[in-house]
Amino acid sequence: MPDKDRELQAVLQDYAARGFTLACQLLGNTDDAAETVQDGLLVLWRNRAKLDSRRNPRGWFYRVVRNLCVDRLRRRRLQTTLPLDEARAPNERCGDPSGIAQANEYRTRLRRELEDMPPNLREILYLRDFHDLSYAEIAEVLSIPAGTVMSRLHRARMELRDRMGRGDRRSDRG
Amino acid sequence: MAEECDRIGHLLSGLLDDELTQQDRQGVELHLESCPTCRATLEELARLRQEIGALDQPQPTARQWSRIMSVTTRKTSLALGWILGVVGVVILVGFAIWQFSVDETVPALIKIGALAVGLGALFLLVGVLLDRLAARKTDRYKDVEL
Repeated sequence: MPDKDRELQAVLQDYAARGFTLACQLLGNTDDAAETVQDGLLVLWRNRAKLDSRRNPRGWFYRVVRNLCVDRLRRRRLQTTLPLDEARAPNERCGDPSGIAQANEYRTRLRRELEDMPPNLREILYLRDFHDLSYAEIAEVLSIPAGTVMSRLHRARMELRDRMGRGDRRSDRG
Repeated sequence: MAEECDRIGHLLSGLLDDELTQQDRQGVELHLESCPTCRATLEELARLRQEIGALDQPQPTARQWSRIMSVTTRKTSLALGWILGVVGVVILVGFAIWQFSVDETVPALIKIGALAVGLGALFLLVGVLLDRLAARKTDRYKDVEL
């Protein structure tokens, strides 16, 4: 395989890893995340000829994965009336090995609060604070005006802060 | 002061992410100098941002990873589906054409019309195939394995 193709393959593997992380954060389930990223790679493969001409191929792939996640969440809502936590087996949940829970209770609670947040607020927090996307990239991924990113992100952060604060007060009382 | 806090609220996130214009940044920094509430909020948000960034990255299992990267298998399965579908259609259409051509109750003019439609469709199909072949020749990533 020529060097250029090898390079592209490495890029695709990087995209797959990033896509899996985002899908996991949005869907909360590793099996669903794996399926979603595979679908995303298929979309990427079909559009590979246009990959070079895209201004931001990484942002484009995030957008593909995010949209596939939204579709999957919609289907899940139609198929089940169970809350998300009950609808998935514990061993399928993302990033919740007991070792991590013991190592850092705060982060475990943070992840749980993030999982319970409305999807539109959760996704913007992960895109900015975990995946480190700029506001312009987030606007592209979410298909929203650039001016909306800052206000939605702030709303998400304040919501998370309040949730974490409520948790702190509960544990203080307990 | 509370009104001012509400007005600059969302700009705190912009400041945190270094996404403000110089004018907005100066306005927020000026407000922060005299507002302990907003300073505290900014600190809390900065901590949350840092903690989210430090969360563990979910990792796929080896089985899930190989499934993710098995796009080749899916492509093969799709291609096989297409081939079988096309072969089936060719057999059925061929049989129908043969039946149609030997049917003596159909007038010759209708047969000529049907032949013209058939040939037109065939030329269109050949044109599309030639386009696809030309595109494939210039596809720089055709040898990439997924």
